[in-house]
Amino acid sequence: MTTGDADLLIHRHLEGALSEPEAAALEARLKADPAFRRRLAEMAFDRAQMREVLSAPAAGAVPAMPAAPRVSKRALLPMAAAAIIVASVGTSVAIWSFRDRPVETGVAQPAQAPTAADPFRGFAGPVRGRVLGRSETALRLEVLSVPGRPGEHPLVGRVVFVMAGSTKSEGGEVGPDRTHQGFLKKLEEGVEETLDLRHQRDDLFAIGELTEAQEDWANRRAEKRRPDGDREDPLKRSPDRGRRETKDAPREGPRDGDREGAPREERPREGRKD
Amino acid sequence: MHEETLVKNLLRHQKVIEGMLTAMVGNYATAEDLFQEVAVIMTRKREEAEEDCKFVAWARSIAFNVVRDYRKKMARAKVRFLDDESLESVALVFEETEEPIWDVRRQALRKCAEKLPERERTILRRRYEEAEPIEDLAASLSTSRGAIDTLLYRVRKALHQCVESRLNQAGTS
Repeated sequence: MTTGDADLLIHRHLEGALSEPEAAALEARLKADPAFRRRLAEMAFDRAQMREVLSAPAAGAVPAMPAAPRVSKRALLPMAAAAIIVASVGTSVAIWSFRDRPVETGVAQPAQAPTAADPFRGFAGPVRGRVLGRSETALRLEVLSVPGRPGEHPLVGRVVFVMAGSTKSEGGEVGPDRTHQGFLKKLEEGVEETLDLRHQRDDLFAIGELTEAQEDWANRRAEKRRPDGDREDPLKRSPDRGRRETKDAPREGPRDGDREGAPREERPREGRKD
Repeated sequence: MHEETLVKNLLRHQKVIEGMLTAMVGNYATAEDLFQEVAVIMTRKREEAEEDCKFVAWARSIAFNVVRDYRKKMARAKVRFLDDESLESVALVFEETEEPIWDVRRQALRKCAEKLPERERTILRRRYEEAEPIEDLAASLSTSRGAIDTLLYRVRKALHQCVESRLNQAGTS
């Protein structure tokens, strides 16, 4: 089998379009050829990256403000996990335990100096980054630049976690800032955005303040605009079509993958560190 | 495992685990759904896991069972799933690959995707970002299903070659 044949087989598998003989050939090749296994893994990984990669502005394009407010339920992975945490721990806000030392928006924090062990300690200011992943209340952000700081800031190139800042209610209770949460929920993977951040601990940051435009956008209902303009181009998807399933692989409802009692293969294996 | 550690790890390794599931089931939309299930199971079992456990290895073992259950449920559907040995073999690649390798690959892929002609980028976006069926794409572009499928194959292959070339230049492949 040539490389071209192998690639075609992988492509057809990843499109859910294998015939029975092709599926048998794929299985035989997977069992016998480590290089083929790796190639399938790489192409599947590329496929999983596609949304983030394609959401990023094309070379030369000027990225718009909080770009694509399409909230894919599937993309918000730990929503389900967070819901379980809420149910099991009884906290009122999912992943709220992220913040055992919360930042209160608008409340002055004591100045803290960086240390060798904690180089971002006390950091507060704007950070431009690209969204790599997100949950209901937290983002994974690749830091692209730290505006207003001379020289190459040590944060640049790092991947950090960003959660909503907190705010105090009229009754004096500290809780997550709902506007921040709405903002985080709307940011899509691949989007580049400048955020005012406050360091919490390690690689965890909280939003300090949103700009007026960011707050407006966070509080608005879902928009349809995208970073690359309108959708009149016939190559682009019509606006009345919702995100949907491919026809290649029908799906059903909840599945019973959870086997209580943790069978042997559900325990972390000894071996190479991931 | 503390819930903060769990959520951080889920965010950090989400794409690797989704890639693993995609390789196993051959459909990214399904993989996204199965990933939710994996996350829920990991959340339920987090107290059984050590704080510094091999997270992807743990996810792999759960993903394997989730995919098997899904395959069982879909037994009557006309969808061909891989057998256990094949599932296991491809999932292990993800477990055995160090995280920085995936990070470098993702960056290379982004650079390569930026260079795609706008038409190809748009078709990829419609197909892979918005999950538009090939038939619908073909109809809206007044072409055949086969032509779209060939185009997708050609662009994906070109992207893969571009990524490999970049990684080779960087000495990381």
